[in-house]
Amino acid sequence: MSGPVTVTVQLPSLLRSSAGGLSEVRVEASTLENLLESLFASYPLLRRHLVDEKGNLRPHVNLFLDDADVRWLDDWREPLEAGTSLTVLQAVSGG
Amino acid sequence: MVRICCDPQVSGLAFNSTKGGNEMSRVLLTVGTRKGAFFLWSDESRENWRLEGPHFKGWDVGPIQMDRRGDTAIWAGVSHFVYGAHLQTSKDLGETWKQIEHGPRYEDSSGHKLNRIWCIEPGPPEEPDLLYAGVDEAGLFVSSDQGEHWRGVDGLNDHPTRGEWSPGLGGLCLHRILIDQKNPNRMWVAISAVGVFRSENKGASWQACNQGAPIVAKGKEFEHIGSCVHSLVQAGNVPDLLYQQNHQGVLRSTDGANSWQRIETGLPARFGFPMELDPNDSNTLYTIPLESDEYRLPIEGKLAVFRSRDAGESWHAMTTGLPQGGFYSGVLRHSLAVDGLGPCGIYFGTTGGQLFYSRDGGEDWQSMPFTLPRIQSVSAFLLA
Repeated sequence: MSGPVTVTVQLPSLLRSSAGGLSEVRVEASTLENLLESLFASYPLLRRHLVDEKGNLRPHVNLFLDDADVRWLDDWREPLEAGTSLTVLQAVSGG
Repeated sequence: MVRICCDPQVSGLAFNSTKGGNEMSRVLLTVGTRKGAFFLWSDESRENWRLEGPHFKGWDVGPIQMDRRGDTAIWAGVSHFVYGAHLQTSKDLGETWKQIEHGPRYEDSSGHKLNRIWCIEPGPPEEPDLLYAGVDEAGLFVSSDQGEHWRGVDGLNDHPTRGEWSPGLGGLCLHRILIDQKNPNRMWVAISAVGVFRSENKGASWQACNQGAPIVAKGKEFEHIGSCVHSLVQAGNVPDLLYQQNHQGVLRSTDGANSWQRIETGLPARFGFPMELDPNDSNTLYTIPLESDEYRLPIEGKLAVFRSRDAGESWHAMTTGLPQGGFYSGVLRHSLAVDGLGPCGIYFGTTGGQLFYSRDGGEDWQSMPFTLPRIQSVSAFLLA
């Protein structure tokens, strides 16, 4: 199993107050699953906004691991590669 | 946060942009909107207003409450359709805000979901650490440590009638918490499309109190569940006297909500959302009727506040200065406020973002010289 890498997490403006006003934060993690837990441990207010009571991603929250929507990833325990970024986006629909 | 200085030429209102001005700012008007919160400051004359905001830009702001039992704290219920609902608090009148990490939240096992915070209410003065919050899906939460941690009030949230609680158009929301100022063990809550509940033991158990109030759906196991209370107010100095604007009429109780009677003489419609009571006169109250639950619009495009000075026995339209044609924005249940000064200041905001106010108990009205996002709450606070 690979060791932890530094992942850059980019946050939308509405969530920056939940991360000390930062637009991006760096998190050490070895897998996506581990990345989210580390992110929430460092910035617990983000947990409230990104996941629901059951711990599932909120329906209109999109997380992109580089270019991949994490909902389409089969295994959140795959090793992360160095230089990976995670982008938090809200789903947008309508005109 | 950006402070906005409105042009006094627009309305004749002498807005100013000086920061704080708190030495003279005795009246704070807070406005929760679909896209943030706005604060308006004035002195006791209420002639000059200073607008600041938006706080929580882009977030959906519902209730804003002030707790003055210890160090003054402002509380706000904030939500977003993507990022959920949470509480924010400020100890410096809105200069800085702190998001509450362990705010109201249902247990996973409850099967319920927190969609929105609808009301925040300080507990009785002798228990300054106690705070209550009402939420959608309908539930009551309490904090015993000045809002840092919250737990559900099981006696209400797991009420035996819960299976027959059904949402209205505004959701399944607990939107009002009242605490008897003379008996802190007694409290009431209002749940839209469900009804009024009362506790005599600080929330340990609850009784539905909708006898005489219209019930939307018949044929249920619990026949007094299903009253669509839109607003509930209590006369602080007469604890058994309550009023409500219901989906299907305007009602008064003189026995602590054991029974309700209609008080609609002079009203042009039974439907409406907000209701407020003059804090200095338990017989003077205000409501804003709308044309039926089907349309929910000012009647014939005319905006009117109705006032009763005889405990609801009769109602009279107060329209001087309000648009009397071509006005088609409604007023939501939390968007009417009174300030308790004499004469009483009255304020209301519309779904179109206009803010109107009267400095003389509703006799004359003015509009603020700006348009905000959809207004969801208006509150008025007096500061020493």
